[in-house]
Amino acid sequence: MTEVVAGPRRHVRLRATKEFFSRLFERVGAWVGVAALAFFLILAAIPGPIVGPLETAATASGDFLTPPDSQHILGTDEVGRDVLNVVVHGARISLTIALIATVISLIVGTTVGITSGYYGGRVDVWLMRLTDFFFIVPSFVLALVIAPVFVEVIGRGREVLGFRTSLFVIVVVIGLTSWAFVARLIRSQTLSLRERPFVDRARVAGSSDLSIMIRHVLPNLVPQIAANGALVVAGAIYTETALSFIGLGDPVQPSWGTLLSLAQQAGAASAGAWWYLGAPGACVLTVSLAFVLLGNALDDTFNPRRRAIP
Amino acid sequence: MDSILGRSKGAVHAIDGVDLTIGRGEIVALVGESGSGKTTVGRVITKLVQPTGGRLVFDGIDMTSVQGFSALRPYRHRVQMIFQDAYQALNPRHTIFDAVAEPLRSLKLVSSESQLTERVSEALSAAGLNPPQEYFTRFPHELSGGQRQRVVVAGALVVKPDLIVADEPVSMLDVSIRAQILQALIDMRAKQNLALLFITHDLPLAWLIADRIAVMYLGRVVEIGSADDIIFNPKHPYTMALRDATPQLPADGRPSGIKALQGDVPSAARVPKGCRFHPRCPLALDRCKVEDPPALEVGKEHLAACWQAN
Amino acid sequence: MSEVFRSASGQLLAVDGLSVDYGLKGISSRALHEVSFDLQAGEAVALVGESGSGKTTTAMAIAGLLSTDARVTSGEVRYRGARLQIDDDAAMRPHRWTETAVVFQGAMNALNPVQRIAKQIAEPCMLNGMPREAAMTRAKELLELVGIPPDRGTAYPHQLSGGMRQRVMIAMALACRPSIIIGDEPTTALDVINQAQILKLLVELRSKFNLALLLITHDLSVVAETCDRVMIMYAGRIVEDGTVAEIFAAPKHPYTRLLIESIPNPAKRQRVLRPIPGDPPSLITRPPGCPFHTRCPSSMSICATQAPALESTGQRRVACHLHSSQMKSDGVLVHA
Repeated sequence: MTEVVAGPRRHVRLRATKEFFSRLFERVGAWVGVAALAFFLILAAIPGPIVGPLETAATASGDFLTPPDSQHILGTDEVGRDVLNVVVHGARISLTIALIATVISLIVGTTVGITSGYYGGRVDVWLMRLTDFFFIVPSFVLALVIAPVFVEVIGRGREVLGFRTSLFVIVVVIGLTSWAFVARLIRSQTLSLRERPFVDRARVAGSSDLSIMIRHVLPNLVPQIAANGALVVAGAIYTETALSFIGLGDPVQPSWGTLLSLAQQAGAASAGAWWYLGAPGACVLTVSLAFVLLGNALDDTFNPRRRAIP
Repeated sequence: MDSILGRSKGAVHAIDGVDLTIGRGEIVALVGESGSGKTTVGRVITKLVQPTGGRLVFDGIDMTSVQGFSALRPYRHRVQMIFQDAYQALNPRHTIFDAVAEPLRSLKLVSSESQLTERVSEALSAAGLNPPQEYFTRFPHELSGGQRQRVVVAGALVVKPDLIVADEPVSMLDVSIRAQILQALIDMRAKQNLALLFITHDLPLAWLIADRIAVMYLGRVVEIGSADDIIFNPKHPYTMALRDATPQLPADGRPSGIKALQGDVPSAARVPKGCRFHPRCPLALDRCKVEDPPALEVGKEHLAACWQAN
Repeated sequence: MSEVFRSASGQLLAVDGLSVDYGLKGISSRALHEVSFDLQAGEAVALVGESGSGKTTTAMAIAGLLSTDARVTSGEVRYRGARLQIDDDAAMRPHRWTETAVVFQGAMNALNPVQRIAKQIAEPCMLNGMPREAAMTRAKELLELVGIPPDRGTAYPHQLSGGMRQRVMIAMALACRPSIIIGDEPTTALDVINQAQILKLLVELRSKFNLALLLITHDLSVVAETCDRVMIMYAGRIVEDGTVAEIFAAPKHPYTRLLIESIPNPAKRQRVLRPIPGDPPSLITRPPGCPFHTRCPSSMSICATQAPALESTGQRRVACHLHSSQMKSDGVLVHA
């Protein structure tokens, strides 16, 4: 009897998932977003086979600041490194930082938002004051303040969870400054969800608060989390770029932001080296835009008001 | 714990001094307009709302101060609720099986998956969804309004409770299928000696299904008695007004002519002094404006809170 | 041409063979099937049916308020003999309010929450060219007419009770002196006593202004108190039509009979539940043949294959094989 039930139930999930994807990909934005992201994820996953190992000043293969030619499709930088090589390797750092920061932000934001919205009262007041604090903290100031502390405590060359210290600082800073937005959003949704009769019904059925939050509230928040998660990633990529640009990045593991910063320092703009600024810049724009497009497409797909009611 | 519906300042008594007993296997209807507090009575009984005064005694045990989901488990096992709007009372992301199985799982009433399936099937059939297996993997939006309400009924029947609080269980349904749902409840009463508190605004419907009827006005029971007494021999002017305002089917093809009471139900925040019905009462005396009438015995098991009931 | 019709009778509105399709997800399904009836001046007619019966579609079609995915596939609506372009919103605009006005179900949703009620009542008058001052005076008159003290005109909708808001809706409908009022479940969201007040008001206003009333409702008991004639709809068709007295005393269609029996009636002293088996069909689950045959206790073999025509005897119309002229004359077609 159990198998009889379990079988079809798995089938139901599968059917629902299929239906969801077919609806999602009815939108052009979803196609463009996913295609662009897939392209960059491949770059980030296997930079070696595509462009060879990361070039350093010592292993640089070309002249200084040469414009694009057949050998260096995107030209070279001020120490002779191939720009294509460093941009592809930069994808890995930028995307990893953005995705990890987003995961942190979503987990913290969702937990705080659901707790605050579900319990209300004093819990809500205190959690929301905390959220407001992180909401208004500018990420740059926070980064500038905690970066030296971290570097001092851990040491510049050391690694934390596989990241070099300065990159870890960036992850933490982005995570800390972006969850408040998620928490506010999730809280307001939870406030309306907890008034829904199905929450009362779950309570009469004897479910605990934790189980109501996880089994009843959270699944109904998935659309918001997914759609806004994509937007948070876009924001994180920007923030990472900006933080690296002002010199908080790690020159040994260059991200797109670090590259932009190096290009600026090398006077790429005044020297007319458009390829050096343009390549990482275009990548940042494309990836952010891809996530925004995907986020909007997810929002449209999940939003029940735009769905035909059977 | 100063109030249940208001903030601590200026508490609003949604219900005020309600005395109600329900016998084993008895069907009691609670009739009133919106704002009469009938739903709040149901929510107090199902422990969704904590009363500020008075006692809630179930089977000899004082349940007034029992709180928290684990302490309430034995009570939840015996007291269940049916909600008005089945579409809202079912989590849109849970299958019908999960919705009906929820109380069994959270109250830990079954030990094996096969037992769970058996109990769920049994409840679905009892609520008139046959064959039950066909509904297991479906979602609420795939069912008709009547079927959804049957699922909610099944979710209450599945724990084999002693008392079900049914809050306007058929008012959202089409006329032709109301009787089906009511029949399922009456059948369960006959089979399991189930008691039912039937909350409704529809006096003829209350008469049809209930043994006794309690009429509420502005947070208080103004008249209680056997169904026939309340309909054919009402003693409280409000009960009479309610009866006269109900459109009647013309037995001889001629309309009886509706009589409408003047005015609106006052807000629960501004309960009139004296008898709370006196500003709208066609029979009000000077005494009614100052003295609040107690529930007076006007017949066998027939009480009315009116100075002129005798 | 319209002169001829007007002089012929007091006929105000004629709906003739109206069919409406809804396009849902590319599949077109029939919401209304060959609906025909007429409305005399000053007559109160109820259109009764369950969800999905097409009663609201009928009302919206008459008022020219069909949604964009609805399509009129056949038939027409004539007002005082002139054909209405019901699927053209712009052409219907001058007709709405001045000739046909609608009172909607959810007064809270139909009213603008941030505008004072007197101003909202005055708005249809102003749209029809009345100067502002005159329109506000008219609004005060209308408030008084529906039993709201005129000085309450400065209130916002949320400051009024549900019954009061419904009165405001009625005042708005009366603003441009229409000859037809369509009430789309005007009392469904209200409590019993408020419902009684509103019904009483409608009855009074109707006789005062000789209004024709088309009352859309699912509740037969409301009909008995307010209307002269009742039409029962099921699955997009009119299945029975007759005077209130005839229908309640001797319903002919099994659906009508079961519907009446399913309403609890203390006057009969019988506490028996009489369920109609099955669910009302949705737009996409309508069975072939007579749409009621799957739930009908008197269903015959012909019912599953052939939909009965709506046949009239005098003022009474019924669409059921039990009462069809073909059946009565042993299969011989009586009228061509």
